[in-house]
Amino acid sequence: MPPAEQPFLSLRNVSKRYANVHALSGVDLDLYAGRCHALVGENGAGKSTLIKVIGGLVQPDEGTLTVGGAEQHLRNPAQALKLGISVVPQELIFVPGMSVAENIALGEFDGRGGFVDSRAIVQRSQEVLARLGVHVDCRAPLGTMSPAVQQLAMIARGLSRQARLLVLDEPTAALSDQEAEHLFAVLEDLKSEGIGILYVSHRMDELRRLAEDMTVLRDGQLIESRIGEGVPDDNRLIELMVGRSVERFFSADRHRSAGDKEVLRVEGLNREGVLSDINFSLHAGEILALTGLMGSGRTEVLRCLVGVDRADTMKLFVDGEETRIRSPRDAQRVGMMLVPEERKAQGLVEMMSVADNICLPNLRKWAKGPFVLDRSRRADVTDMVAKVGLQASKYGAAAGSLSGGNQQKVVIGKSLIGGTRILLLDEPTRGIDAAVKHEIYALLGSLADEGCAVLVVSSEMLEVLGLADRVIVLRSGAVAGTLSGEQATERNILELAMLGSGADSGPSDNAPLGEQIEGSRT
Amino acid sequence: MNQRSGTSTRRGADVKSVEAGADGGEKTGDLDRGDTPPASGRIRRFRLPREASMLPALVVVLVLGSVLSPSFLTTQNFETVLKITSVVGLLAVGQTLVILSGGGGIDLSVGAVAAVSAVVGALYAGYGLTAFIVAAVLTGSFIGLINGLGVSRAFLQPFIVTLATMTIARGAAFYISGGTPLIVSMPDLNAISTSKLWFVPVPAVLFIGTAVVVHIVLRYTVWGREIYAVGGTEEAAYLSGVPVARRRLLVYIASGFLAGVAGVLLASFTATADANAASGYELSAIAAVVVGGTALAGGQGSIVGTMIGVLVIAFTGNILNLMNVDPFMQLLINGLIVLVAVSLEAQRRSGSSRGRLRGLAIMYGTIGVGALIMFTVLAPS
Repeated sequence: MPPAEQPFLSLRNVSKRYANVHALSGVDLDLYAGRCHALVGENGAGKSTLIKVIGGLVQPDEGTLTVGGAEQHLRNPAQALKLGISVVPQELIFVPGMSVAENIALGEFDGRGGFVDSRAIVQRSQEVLARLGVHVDCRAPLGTMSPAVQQLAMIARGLSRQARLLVLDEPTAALSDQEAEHLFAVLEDLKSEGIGILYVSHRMDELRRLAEDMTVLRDGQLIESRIGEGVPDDNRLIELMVGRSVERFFSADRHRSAGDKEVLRVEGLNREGVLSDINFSLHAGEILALTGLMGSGRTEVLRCLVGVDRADTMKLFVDGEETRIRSPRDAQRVGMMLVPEERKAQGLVEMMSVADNICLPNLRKWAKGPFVLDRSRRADVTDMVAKVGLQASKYGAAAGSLSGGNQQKVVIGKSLIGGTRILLLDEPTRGIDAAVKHEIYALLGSLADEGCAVLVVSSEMLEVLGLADRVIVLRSGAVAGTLSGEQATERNILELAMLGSGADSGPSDNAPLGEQIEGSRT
Repeated sequence: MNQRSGTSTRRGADVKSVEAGADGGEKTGDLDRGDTPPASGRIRRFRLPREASMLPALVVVLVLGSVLSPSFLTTQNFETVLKITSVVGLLAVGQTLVILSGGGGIDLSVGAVAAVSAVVGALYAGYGLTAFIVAAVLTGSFIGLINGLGVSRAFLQPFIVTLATMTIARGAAFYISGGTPLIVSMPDLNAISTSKLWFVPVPAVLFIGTAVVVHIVLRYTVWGREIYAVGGTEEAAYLSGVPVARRRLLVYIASGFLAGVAGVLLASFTATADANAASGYELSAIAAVVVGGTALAGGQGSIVGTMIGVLVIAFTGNILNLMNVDPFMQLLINGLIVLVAVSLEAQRRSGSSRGRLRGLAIMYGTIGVGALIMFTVLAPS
């Protein structure tokens, strides 16, 4: 039943573009006092941008934001806080060395003549925390507290400033079940006190328990807004979230003699608190995608593979032989290279030319004594420039002057030139425009055809579906399932990523999930 | 700490292994600790507060001093040391503010600012001491304002901005003074350096008084706490509505202001305003701050630590002097002190990893090799 009174906060026709990506286009949203509103969507659907607009961190290009009936232009978080909007981001942001009380009061210290009245802020914090059922020493540093206390302290920060609307982004991500239960009870109390909640989560059961209203976003667009109707069942919800047409990135007949020759096998990859018992294998000529929700451990797997992070336990077999890899240099030695997520920070030296970047990992190969002469490397590098689909004229251009897509080609070229047989890519097309994306997909396809083993970490569903021969879905640091061929559908991937293996997924009109999963141990 | 919060908050399980809590280690895992009194008080007694982590070093220096030289533990000696160190001390207090405010905060200009402040002050010497001081302090604050605007509003690198203003201030000092030291014959200016309050020399009073005031400001005022927040986790401060840019701006102005005061002291010591004065003092000030345990990354550290850093360096120099150690050798030892201090601090802060220990061993070993070569092959005959 929709509430009679007018919403506390309304967005109308809000749009936000980043470079050439529509993060939000024409989104409407109504948030009511005393009600919980679930915000749902896949990775990249625009949820975080929407939160940032509400919290004053991002200014929309178009559209209006109304609070309590009056139109507002929020230029910074301070203004949002003044209006009673408090955002608790997923990655809690606080000053670890400062006390609980100081963190709660930060930005609005009780003071007399400029002096902080520490007794007052401790008392105020204690009162607010007591409302949330937390009793800790408010003078101890917040950094020493458990994640649950930190989470609740961030909520307390909003409450102590008379928040009327709390925005929570995946608040239970770091909490145990018991702590989460506590949080839900607290949120119910807050609702009854008339505080509105915007709740972002991938956990459907949580949403269903808490939310009266729901909005689904997809690709920055409003798909459905349900006021007073609660959250629908899993099937319906996933239907709302998915439903994009999957373009084939290259002809399906590239497919795919993969499977005969295993080049990489990972057994028992564990990293405390991040990854647990990951097993998989990668074959020559195969494109394997590793996907999952944010924080599911996608990137961490890659980092452990090339030795950037140390796994607690991991057995790694290259061509069936057990190999130890302690650093990216070791990885390079066995022909394995990582194309990192942050192109500019981790992949390229922007000041250097395309050619210099490409030969960077293998300078010795062309060295004559101490000198690397352009003429000795020219042929090899020119070949590589052509292979990754860069124009020959870019050979000497500064890498930083290229477009994002071309920069990515440089990074891939750099990763390939030393005779790489196993190519790992982390979000290979993030921030790259559509046309160049397809060039990169085609490049990866032809690499696989040549027998290179390709492992792609991606959060973009279309990319995973269109590119991969096989998909491994991670959930909370563990393999939720492996899908291949026909089973690799958006729906199945989402179900695995959000619900895990069958047990808590409820009825599904597809085949039982158990049959779709090849098993985590291949 | 900054980084730590990043990793520790992402996933629950991470946190338990990462944080050895400042109040003794036990994580408060339960939401409800009931009526248990805060455990921190009990445990803290056995640990030095973090700002005084270098206190043992100061004690060692003082004990060594009194053992090695009979004239060390005398009022006379302490007066001299405090007086001499007051200029760098003032600069170090300002430097602490800047470094604490984070964002790569550093103020390389302070030495040159002290010099130009003295020179400008000297131009107004004819109007009396007040005019001298006001002119000097305004000059310092003005350059501080430039630094602050560059850092907080134009988002330039503090290192670069203050490196540039350092050169500019030095150039201005030479231009204004015409290249020759200006003689300042003001009896009341000289009186600053010669007179005492009770038994403490006035420069030392200025230095210690400033330190106490800034300590109180940082510890107990809204402004001070917000500086720590800005330096510790800038984003948290911003999200909480702290005016980050304004806080940073004021920090640089304060550093410039204190450099102006230091310039007045310099002039009163030498009765001249010399464009060449105080060169390299910015580095001594930074060294003192670092020895005092303030993290260059910002957000962690204190004036108490800086005081200890200033005194450790000052008393070490003093002891070496009393023992007639070659002044060149003193310079060398000062450098070593900084190195040892940051090594200890790094060990303490991030725990000793085997990699770090090996690295330290190799580094100090290499220094030893260098020393061996210097004292044998390269020794002046």
